[in-house]
Amino acid sequence: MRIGHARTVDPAEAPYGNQDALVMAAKGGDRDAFGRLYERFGPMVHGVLLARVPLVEVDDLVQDVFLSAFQRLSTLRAPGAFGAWLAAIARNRAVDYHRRQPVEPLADDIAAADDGPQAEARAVLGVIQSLPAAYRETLVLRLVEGMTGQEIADRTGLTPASVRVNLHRGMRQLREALDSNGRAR
Amino acid sequence: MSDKYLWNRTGEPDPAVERLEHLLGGLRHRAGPLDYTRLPAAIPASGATWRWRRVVLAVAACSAVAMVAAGLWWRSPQTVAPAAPPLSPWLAQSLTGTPTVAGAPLRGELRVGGEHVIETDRASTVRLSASGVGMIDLGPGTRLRTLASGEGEYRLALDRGTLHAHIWAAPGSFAVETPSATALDLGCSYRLEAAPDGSGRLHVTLGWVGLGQHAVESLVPQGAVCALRPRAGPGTPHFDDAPGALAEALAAIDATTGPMPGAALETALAAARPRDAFTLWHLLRRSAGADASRLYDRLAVLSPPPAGVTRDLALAKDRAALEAWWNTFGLGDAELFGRWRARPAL
Repeated sequence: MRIGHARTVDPAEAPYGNQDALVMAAKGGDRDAFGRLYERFGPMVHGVLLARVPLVEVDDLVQDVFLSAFQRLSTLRAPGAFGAWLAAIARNRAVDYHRRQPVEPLADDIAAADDGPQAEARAVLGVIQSLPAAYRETLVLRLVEGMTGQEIADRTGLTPASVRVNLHRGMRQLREALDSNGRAR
Repeated sequence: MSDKYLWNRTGEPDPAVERLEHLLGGLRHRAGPLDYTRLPAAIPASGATWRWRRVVLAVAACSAVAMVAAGLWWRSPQTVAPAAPPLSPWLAQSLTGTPTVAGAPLRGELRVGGEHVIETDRASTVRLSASGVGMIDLGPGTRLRTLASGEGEYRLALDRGTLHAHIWAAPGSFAVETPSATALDLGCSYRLEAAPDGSGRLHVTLGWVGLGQHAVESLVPQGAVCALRPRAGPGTPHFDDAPGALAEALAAIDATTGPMPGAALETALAAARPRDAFTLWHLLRRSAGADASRLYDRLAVLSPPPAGVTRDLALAKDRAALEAWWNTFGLGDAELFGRWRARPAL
């Protein structure tokens, strides 16, 4: 076992544990603070987009959303609303993406997948993407991004009760849409 | 359906939800750095406001240039500011209760740099996450240390307790040390339990984990478990749906460090299914003499060796021959072994 010099946690890092402090620092142009917001909220934005646009487009759009947010951060009045504000930007970006796409590419995206678990994952994702928007977003955040219900509420600004209902109803619809082995029909 | 598990992964796991988590986890966000170069150039405002700002900016720029020039002239020889230390990758987040980091209560989130101890009591849990690396949830009663590591390497030490890891870093770059073996991620999700005496258990739910100590190695595929043995490294991996007789026989074999107990080996050979070929393959690598011959014969029945892999080569533990045989099991390419051997010094 390699144990080096233990050092105490840098107290200067502690304020960054506070989301409002991070947002305020980022509003002042602190890219390090914004980078930490990106780490913290990246999975949420990824999930919101993944529920709406083809998988191959998501990483690029995540960058778009965060860079757009970075430019517009000065317009955010309440730092505590950062998550809900960011989720709204992501949803709008997804709408904008579809406006610019003359052909619905989701089916091609799924068909292009190789065989194996990755193909099965994409097929199941396709089923989730066919569910109502509220359900698919919550399901993607829970099942793909690995967030708990409370984390989904904290990150997106939804109430825990709404998230709980969306998870429950969405999972019920998903079960009905999958076969008895949990695979896409 | 267990809504509790669906809500926060506590309570009795819902098999359907668990399966979907494992299946879809591979699509999870893998954060690369934000590319600020994609930001468009600043768009100038129009009208008098912009003209006024230009004047102010020009004055400020001239002043800044003058101050910098003066500073450079005054401070000779020029001093070079030390480079900022790299940002620690690990962000610790309290999920339940009040865990501790370096002995101090953790509330909310904290970036944990260098080497620190993270502990949970019976009522607390922690999530460690690192951009581009993965997410590790620590269960109650866990003691974990973050370890200093080289560029592109990420190392933790699990002294006791349980962790559940979802890793998306490059295979071979994330490792967890335990008192009896080191688990090297080969692209996977897994649950690892360790006790201070060195006992423990690895359960791989996605991908692969290499488990090793000194010359004893086990490669554990998705859906398989492997015991950790006090002072003896990893045990023999087997699928979690293996017949009970096989699992019990392997426990008896793993409990010994000398020749394999005859009765246990007999039971393992009889109980093994074709799907358990990888288990017998591991036993074959660790056996000698008559035991090795019996293992070869049974393995050849369950999963015939490919052309070129002879009995003599297999019993001589010829690496190329054994890896060629491995490739017939349908569990991934033996190239994984190369990644395992290329691992950093453990």
